[in-house]
Amino acid sequence: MEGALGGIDGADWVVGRGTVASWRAVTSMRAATAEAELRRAAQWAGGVPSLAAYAPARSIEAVLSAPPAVRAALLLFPAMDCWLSYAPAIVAGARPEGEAFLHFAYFQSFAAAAAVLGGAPQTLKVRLSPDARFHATGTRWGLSFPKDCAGKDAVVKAARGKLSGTCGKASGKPTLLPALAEGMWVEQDDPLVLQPIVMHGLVRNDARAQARFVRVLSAAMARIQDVDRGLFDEMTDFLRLIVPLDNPKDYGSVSSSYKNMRGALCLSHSDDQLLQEETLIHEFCHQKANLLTAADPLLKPGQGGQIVYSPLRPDARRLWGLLLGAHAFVNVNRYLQRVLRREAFPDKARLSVQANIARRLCHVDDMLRTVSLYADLTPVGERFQSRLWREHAVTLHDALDFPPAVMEEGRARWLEHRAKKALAGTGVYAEEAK
Amino acid sequence: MNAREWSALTGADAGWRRRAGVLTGELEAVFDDAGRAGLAWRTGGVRHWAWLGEKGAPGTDQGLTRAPGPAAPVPELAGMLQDFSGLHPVAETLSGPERLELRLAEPAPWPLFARCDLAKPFAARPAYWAKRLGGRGVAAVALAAGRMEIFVV
Repeated sequence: MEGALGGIDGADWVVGRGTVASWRAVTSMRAATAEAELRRAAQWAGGVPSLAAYAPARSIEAVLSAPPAVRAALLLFPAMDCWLSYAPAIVAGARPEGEAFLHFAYFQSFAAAAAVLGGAPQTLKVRLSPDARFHATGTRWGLSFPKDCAGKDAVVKAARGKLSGTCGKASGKPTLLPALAEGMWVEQDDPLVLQPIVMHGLVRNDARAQARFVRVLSAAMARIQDVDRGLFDEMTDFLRLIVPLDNPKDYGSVSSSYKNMRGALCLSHSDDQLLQEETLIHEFCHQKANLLTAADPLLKPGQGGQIVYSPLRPDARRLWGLLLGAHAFVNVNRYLQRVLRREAFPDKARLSVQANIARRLCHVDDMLRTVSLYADLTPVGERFQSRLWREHAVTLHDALDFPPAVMEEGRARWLEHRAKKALAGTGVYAEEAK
Repeated sequence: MNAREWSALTGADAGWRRRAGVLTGELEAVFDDAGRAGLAWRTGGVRHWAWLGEKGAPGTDQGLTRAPGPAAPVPELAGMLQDFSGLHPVAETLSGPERLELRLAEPAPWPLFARCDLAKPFAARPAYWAKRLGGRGVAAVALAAGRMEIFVV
């Protein structure tokens, strides 16, 4: 199990194993990187007179001097990831001054969170959001002010377990985000969280719609905990926010995650709990693989541009996309097979899930084959790929009791797609050639 | 596994399904190379098992001697157990006058357990066992009364 990177082997990253040493090694590595970036931002902001109103260096220090568990939680919080992703351009002077002002004003949200979670008490000058809210970003707590306070400055007091604030004569009304599991909650308002989400439309649910969204996802997380404890422990350690998305075209499910907001997952509502579980696991696996790249790139550099046939989509994908896809579907197949074993389903529903798995088994086979044939992997990447094959083999065995017709249909659909989009039996994307 | 899984895996009759249904905690299915199937459960840290359709007192691991890692009672077995532990680390060996049991550090998926030299007693019917066990994990393997038993999770 020992690899060159402090015990990070690669094989141990394929399926859920809980927050074991290698998991902690990688998340610590990412937290250390975030801390270094934050110190750079603090140093720069300390020398900018126009930012003095929000005392950015002091607020950043409030986060960095918080107790270790609080500091780590905030450094790995998805909104911090997002905040830090914008910081280099601001520090480099590439963004207008007004944007820098807003960026550091919003940092007060993290300073408040540090205090609420157990750091030193803080009295902070803050800028309220366009809908007159203040978020202690990194906690479930916030304050809601009268609408005429929107975008104005306010004073917030934060201490362990306490948050209060005033804007002029108005007091902020405490708000609490709904939780899905320990450490994981739903967010649809915080501008620090919402700013990078562009791929799919956001939705701001009313109380009733939010209750439905939360009810299904809470049940989904509870079943994941029951069926795959190792995966659940990783998910609740890393995934902190679920952001609701709109689904205007009524697809089964719409979901996305962002490389500059690791730990947040965006998805649309569905009353189909198993579909939500599948989506949560799928997106989490993408984030988990991306997290590993904080320690090792898996693919050797120089192959970023190579595009290949993907069994999942009509367009060509990069090798990295195939590796990500195989990883996600190995985990989804494994999970769905476990659920099918553990629980009673009506025949039609069972067959539907089996058909889904049957098709995905062919997709995984195809994607792994292409990665094996064409990609040059690092040693960690080689072990990651090798274990993927092994876990895939186990899921193939678990499908031995599927009806042959279901397996055949899955195979036929995969082959139909392959015939249209791949150059014979290769990994070459062929649409342009035909 | 829960009682539903156990019942489906072993093909237990209604009486055994009821018996499994009242047990709390995770169950295991036990099989031997003669094709017997049974139920394994834990009570207060002690594992018990009983074979379907057979009367008599359940088996128990209480009173067996425990040693960390693979421990062979006779030198002839030492090499095989070491080789096996290199593939699937053995956390603990339990032994008694009529029994030698290896508890694995992590369940070994059946297809990977089946490739091992140690699994030879099951090798005569590879498709039968593959279909029956799928990708399930083998948590322990025991030699008892001239048979090999596997505890499946």
